[in-house]
Amino acid sequence: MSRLRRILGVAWGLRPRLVVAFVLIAAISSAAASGATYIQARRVVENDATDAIVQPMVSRVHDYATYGQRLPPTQDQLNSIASEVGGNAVAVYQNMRSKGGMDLSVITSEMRDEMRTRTDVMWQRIDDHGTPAMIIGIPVLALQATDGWKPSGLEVYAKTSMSDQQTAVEKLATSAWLYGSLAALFAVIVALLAARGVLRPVRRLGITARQLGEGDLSARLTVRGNDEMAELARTFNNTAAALEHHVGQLRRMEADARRFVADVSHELRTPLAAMTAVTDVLDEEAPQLGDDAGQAARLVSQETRKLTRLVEDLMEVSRFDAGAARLALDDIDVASAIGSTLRARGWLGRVETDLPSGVVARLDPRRLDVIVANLVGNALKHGAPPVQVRLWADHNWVDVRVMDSGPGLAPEVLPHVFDRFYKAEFARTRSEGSGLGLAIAWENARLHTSGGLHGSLEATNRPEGGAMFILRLPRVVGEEPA
Amino acid sequence: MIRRNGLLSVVALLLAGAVVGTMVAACGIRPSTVITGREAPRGAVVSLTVYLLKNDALRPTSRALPPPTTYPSDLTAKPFYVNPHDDALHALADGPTTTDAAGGLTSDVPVGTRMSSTYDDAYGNVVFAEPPDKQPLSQHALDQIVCTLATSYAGDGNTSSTTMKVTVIVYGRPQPKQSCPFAIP
Repeated sequence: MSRLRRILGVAWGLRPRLVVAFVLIAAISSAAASGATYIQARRVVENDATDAIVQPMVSRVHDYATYGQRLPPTQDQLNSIASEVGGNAVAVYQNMRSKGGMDLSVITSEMRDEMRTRTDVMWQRIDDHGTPAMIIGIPVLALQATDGWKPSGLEVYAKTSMSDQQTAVEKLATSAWLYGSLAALFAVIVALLAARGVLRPVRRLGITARQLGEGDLSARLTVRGNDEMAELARTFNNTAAALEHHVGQLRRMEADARRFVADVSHELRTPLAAMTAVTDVLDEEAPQLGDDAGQAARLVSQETRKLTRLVEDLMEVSRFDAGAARLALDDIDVASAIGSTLRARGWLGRVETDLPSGVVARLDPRRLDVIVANLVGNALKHGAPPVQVRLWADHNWVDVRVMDSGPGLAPEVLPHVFDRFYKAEFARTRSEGSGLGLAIAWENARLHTSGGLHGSLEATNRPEGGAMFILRLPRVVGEEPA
Repeated sequence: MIRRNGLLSVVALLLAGAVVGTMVAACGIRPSTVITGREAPRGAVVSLTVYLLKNDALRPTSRALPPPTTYPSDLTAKPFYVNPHDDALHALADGPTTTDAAGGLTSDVPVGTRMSSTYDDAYGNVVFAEPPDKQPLSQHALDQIVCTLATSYAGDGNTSSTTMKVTVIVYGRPQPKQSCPFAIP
């Protein structure tokens, strides 16, 4: 049952359902109409046949055959009665019957019984070896002195084929089927037209909804007519307009927020530059100051440097957010670029490298330096030695992996590693990092785009322990956008 | 909603199938039971009816048909026309049987009255009656004769004979034309 339901109700589209419904309605109404007409018409045909066959027969029997016939009859009398009635009529009296005529065995016992007692003409439609026929039985009445008119025992039978009527009824049935089929065909056409009328706006609604989903918030439906579909389209348009309005507002607010950060960072740079200059002096003077004052001077200098770095990172991030970050591409040997990064930070001795030379790619060397420095720096700071840097490349990709042998990243940390200001350990909130390093590295990787290929940076844990950062950059980077 | 549609479709399908099935099954002329119609024709004659009297009231009584007239097989000439209705008149002239008499039936028509009927353009239906010894016929006797003849005609299936008017001519004297005062069925 549920499968049937699924086939009939759920698995079918709107169009087949409409067609089926229309065809069913047409079939039922045309079947009911033509069925009723057919039954009525058949009754008329049957009755007409009865009138046409029975009445003349009775009249002939009355007028010519039985007038004053004295009973019991002679065989000649019976023969002449039958011939007066004509056709295949048979006159019967008790065990006698006229010569020739119909075969009496087709008469039902039911009719024979009725003939004995009733004073009415009777007839019965029978199936005579496959063809419909009508048997007419006419009892002839005799006047009894005291009882009035009673069956005399003289009976006349006749059989008439109803094949003409059968043909007429079959024609009726054929035309009923024909017109029923035409009605069904018409219903299919009407259903398809109706389905098209209903489905076209639905399809348009689907297309527009998809456009909206893909980010085209200005997508709208054209409202036609004044029906339910038009009402739906209107509602859809209003919803889309509200959505566009809210999203626009959100975007403006976000842009405002980003601009504010950018502005704040920018405004902080000038005083920080001055402060950095001052802290350099303080650093030089620190040994000459007293213990407490020297420590305070060093603290101020240290925090100022951190603040400077934070502001720089914030400005970098703001550039990404504003879409102002641009690649400065150059054909570089990736191995030597990574090597120089490590050398410049003094990490060569602390890092195991596997850097095959000859991997030349068109990259932004400054950004590659930022990424690698951040990843290796993190590995050295938070992971355990040995820290490994491995370079690998194929035709399309440059693949740089930075691995450590520490405890790795906690599962709850992994999805947030590249979030801004996300710090895995709260205890280390006061570490020297700005909290933006990995976010900036991730943005830098994303910025490397060529054709459909986007650079990526992923964090994962090695099966043998320790964190692994995978940097993948498209090897052939497209021309810098103009 | 969708499920209900599915169920609706099933119901509709079954309904359509039933309708179509009925139509197909009941195709053509169907056999019927025995249908009775108008009244059967009348006219067979199994007995004669003569009218006797009981306490001066007409009373129909049954008489057997006389055996059919047989002619010699070597007859060459056409026989005279014998009016079959005269058989009833002859039976009337025979008078009550002993059974009739036992039942209190009498007849005003003298036994042995010779009677024959015919149709005359001037008089219509006519009965020539010649009672023995030229006795006159009473009104009861005339009624008996008229009713017997009219019923004989009616027995042939002639419905108008129930109101048939008859003139009885007794030894050349026509009696007033009259119809049977008894209701013939």
